[in-house]
Amino acid sequence: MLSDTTTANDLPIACDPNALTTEQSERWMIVGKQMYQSIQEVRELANGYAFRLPSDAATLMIVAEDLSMERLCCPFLLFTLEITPAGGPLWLSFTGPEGTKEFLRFSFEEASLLNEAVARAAGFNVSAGKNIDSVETAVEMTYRINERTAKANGSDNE
Amino acid sequence: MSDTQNASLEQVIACNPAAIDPANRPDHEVTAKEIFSRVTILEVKEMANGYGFRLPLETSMLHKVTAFVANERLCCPFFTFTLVIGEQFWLELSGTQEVKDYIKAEIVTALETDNFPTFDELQSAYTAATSATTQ
Repeated sequence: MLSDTTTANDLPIACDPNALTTEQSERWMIVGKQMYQSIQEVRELANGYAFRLPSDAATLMIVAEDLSMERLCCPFLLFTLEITPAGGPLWLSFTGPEGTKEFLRFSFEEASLLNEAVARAAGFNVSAGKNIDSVETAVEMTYRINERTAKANGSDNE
Repeated sequence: MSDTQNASLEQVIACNPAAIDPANRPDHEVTAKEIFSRVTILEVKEMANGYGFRLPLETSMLHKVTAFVANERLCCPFFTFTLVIGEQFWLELSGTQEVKDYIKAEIVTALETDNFPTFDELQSAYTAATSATTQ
């Protein structure tokens, strides 16, 4: 939780998988994977990415559950979910301070979260992407992405 | 119904509560009251195209708001709903100027007076609005 004087810009560009309980991590393995697999299109933003999702109530609830967990482990991210009029698509964007976009790109390239065709269409190099088949794998991968982001940004995020 | 009548109906800025599954209406009414209460709403901001409502940044509230939006978008299809989750949690309702005026009248003012329309009142307003545009 952010203190009154801490802003997202002060936070390291890193996710802390230990911010979730074991039960939450196990639940994310189902909900998170389901949400990312349902993404139909990825758009690059100046400070992150936007994802188009199916416009149904079930997807909306899945997104809410995913965000309720992701916000705990990735407090530097700003999540914006736009539900467009007349049953139009859902657009979910992940944005944040400098380095956020690299973090997200590394995440989608390291982990096979997105549908492969969608990921390739977005320009992600997913040839070495690994399947997240356990909470342990997810944790290991998160630390690797954190380190990669820290190196890319020339900082020492842990 | 003619194309002209269809076009008119599409432009009606009035919520049609009958668009929500009858089985979901009681829960929706309860959820709407929980969210749009002077106790829950921490701040209201006017935007160029609508209004934003700041809510407690809690997992339970996030789930409530999402459930609310899942139904509300059926009866008010002219709204754009935006959930912003960061250091704060905002629910933004936006659209055209006419939509903004509707939000002001039906939600912001109701919040100030703590006097939200009932299901029947909303339905009557919708029926009146659609009748007016098709005549």
